[in-house]
Amino acid sequence: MSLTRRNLFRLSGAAGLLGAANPLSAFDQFFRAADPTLAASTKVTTCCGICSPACGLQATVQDGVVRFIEGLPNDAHGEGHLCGKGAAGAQFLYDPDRLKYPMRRTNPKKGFGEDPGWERISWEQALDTIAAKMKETVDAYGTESLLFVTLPSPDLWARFMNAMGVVNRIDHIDVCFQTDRIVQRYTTGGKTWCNDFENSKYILLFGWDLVAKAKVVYANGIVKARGNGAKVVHFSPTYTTTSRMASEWHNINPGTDLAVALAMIQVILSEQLYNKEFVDNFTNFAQYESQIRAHFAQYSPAWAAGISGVPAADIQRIAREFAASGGGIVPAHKKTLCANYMNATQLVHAISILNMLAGTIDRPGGRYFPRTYSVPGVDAVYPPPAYPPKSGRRVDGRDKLPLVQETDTGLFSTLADGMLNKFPDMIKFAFWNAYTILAFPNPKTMEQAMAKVDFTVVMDFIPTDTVTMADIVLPSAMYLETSDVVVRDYNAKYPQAVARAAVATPIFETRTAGYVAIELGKRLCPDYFKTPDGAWINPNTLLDEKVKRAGLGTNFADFRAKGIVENRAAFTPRTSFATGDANNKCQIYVPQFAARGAEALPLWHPKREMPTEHYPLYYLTFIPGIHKRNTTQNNRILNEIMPTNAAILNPALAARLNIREGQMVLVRSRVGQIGLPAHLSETVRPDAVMVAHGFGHQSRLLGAAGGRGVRDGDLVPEASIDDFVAAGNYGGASCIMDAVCSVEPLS
Amino acid sequence: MTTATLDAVPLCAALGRLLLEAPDAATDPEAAREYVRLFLNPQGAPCPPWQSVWEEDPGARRLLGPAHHGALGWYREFGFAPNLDSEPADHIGLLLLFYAMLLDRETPPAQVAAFEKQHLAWVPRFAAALQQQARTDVMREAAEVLGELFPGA
Repeated sequence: MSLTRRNLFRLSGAAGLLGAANPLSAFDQFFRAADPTLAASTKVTTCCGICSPACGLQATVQDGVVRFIEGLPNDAHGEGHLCGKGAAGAQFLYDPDRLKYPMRRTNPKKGFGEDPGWERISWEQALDTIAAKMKETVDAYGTESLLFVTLPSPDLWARFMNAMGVVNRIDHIDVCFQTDRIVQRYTTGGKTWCNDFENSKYILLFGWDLVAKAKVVYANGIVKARGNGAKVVHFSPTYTTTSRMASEWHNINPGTDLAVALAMIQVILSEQLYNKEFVDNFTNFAQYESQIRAHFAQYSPAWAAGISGVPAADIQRIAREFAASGGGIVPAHKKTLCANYMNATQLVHAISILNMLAGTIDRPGGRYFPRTYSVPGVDAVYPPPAYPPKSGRRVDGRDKLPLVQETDTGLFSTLADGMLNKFPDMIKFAFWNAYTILAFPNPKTMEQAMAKVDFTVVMDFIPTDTVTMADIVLPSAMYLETSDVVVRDYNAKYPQAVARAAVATPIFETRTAGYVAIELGKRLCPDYFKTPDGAWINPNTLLDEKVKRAGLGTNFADFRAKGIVENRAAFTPRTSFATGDANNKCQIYVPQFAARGAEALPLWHPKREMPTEHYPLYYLTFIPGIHKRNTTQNNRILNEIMPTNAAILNPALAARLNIREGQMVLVRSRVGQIGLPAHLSETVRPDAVMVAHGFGHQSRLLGAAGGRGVRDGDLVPEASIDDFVAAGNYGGASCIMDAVCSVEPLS
Repeated sequence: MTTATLDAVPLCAALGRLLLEAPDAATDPEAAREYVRLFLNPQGAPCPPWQSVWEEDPGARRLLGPAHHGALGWYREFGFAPNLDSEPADHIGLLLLFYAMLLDRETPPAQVAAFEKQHLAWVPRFAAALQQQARTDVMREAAEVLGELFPGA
């Protein structure tokens, strides 16, 4: 021991920690007597929270810590399997960079290069500050000055926003499945995630790389379909995992899937190949037959071939095969090529029509509606006082698109333009819940928009780029720390519910959005957070009541002990469809669309950005199967598998431009440029550059992901609501991958 | 690794407490901010105080890893458990306090050496990081003392 007296003295003097009569008094403060028996490990049933199917899982838990995660054998979604993200769940829970305590910024200067000077505060201090700031903002500027970037869940959180009259709530659904939700509502009666792949005879996939996308329930479905002899046809401008598994792959020009779908409808109609029983009895075809036939007559296979690059003979053959199969399905989902061009709404309408012509809506082998347990929300259990009207301007301009306005979501795509140009200085207070600016097209403009907001709260579980701009940071609990009822709605021919159980002891001071809702509610809108007997709503009591009313158990503990509850009732095909049609039929022709200034039948529209002299290449982005959007790159296990992104180029293009494997290249679009290494692959067309989404988190924020890779969105032009209206983008399709580019080697 | 004697008991205990207790922002805002910046910063703490985060393999770095369970096992073997329910058991402060207790009880040297090997081998790297990052006198002194107590291999 070579400690000097100086060291001893200074440490003692500064901290006052030495010199106590009992030097081990601190030990007594931080330790207690305990049973020396080793804690046994137990297996607890719960379900995943990485993506919406929420595959069932079993967690091996010891001392309140998750040691291992595996699939739950009897679960309808995962069928005993987990994807890589799900299996790496404990690493999300125990990410060393996790936000741990509420924090307050002390440096008023905001920006990625600034040290916020975080100061740890208590939850009480954080909530008091947030509530005071919200009240002050609403009093001075009205509720339109509040921006909530969050999903409307859990239900307690939605109740808080409704009680406050929040008009500007925005989530990512427009870059996800919004177009399908709008179209399905009026064509078949509602958005469904259920695709009966295993009984399908013919599966048409427009772009969607659903095998690699790692929703286990879908990947299993396609594997079973192939095993059962189904034909799978994949249209995609890149050769993906799904292409490899398909019977046929067609290298379609980017953003032209709509042309092919329209021509297939034309073939099926003109050759009378549609399922007459279904179409005559359960669609409005007869009522609008002349308009429908006249409309689609313009879209011949030859015309579509000229646009899409898919030979007319193939389009015609596939249409005939699909119709003749007697059990075809065309699924539509979210962000993977087909859903995020300016013409995506028309595409999903055409897809819905193809499903109707195949006669498989809610029939074996088709898209069907989930048979689920009905779990009441908080508003059903504890009916609230009347919510205040939501008055004020929509910062994203959503109100210019009547069909989007009906959905009560918002537009990521146009938010930055609204904050910077349409309504500058309108937003004074922002609450971000689990979203990062990487999720936005052209994130640079979103940075600028965020910097203009007076006061920003960010609730998250890791320090995303968004956290850097916060005035208050709230550490969020994650799915392995929370309890809920989760119903099956992807593979749901009969009702099944899984208990999401808090399997891990919460660490540090993480809390749920439900907790924040109740605590802010107590401070700002108390009448909405009381039970009929005047007590504050208790989330555990609420959960017990939901379980009881759904018939899943006497209370949550009872349900949790069961793990899974199911009712294997027989599947009875639906004969009535709540589309708004007077006769409750599916709608090929949608009069409600026409009444709202949209297209009653899908018209051809080109994608927004087409190659030019300066930007001669298509820019394709994708979400790799090993990651979930922009939220998993800091997971050390997933990061090790895929730590960064590259510019993926066809070798022929690379040879023409003198680009070697691994060489740094500069990719430019009309709004930005990114520098990254080239990776040569035959899976990409020679007229395209492909870049994975989810990378390019700013340095210093995240221990594993910070500073690695580039943001794909830096090349994607943001949009204004005027662009959408002018282009007939009535479903608010996000254009989040709609860009063209150039590429050049960097020495 | 240290050839620790009873002299190290008060120092380890003092350091353990210093590194476990976040200063009160109301009475000492500078110290409170420094504590957050070093150990808890949502912008990326340069000196995470948990052994599991200092695993040699970057892919294995996490909270509540094997080191947490190992530490719990040691505490349990001696009839103890941490009083802080929400703090991982492999926090450097808890490890130092437990180490002080082992020394104070004149635990057999082989057992002390085993604890050092399993749970304190990372402390020199932590001390070096703290020495490099600390901006206040208290933390600089703490890093210096820790570095002298655990000089590394």
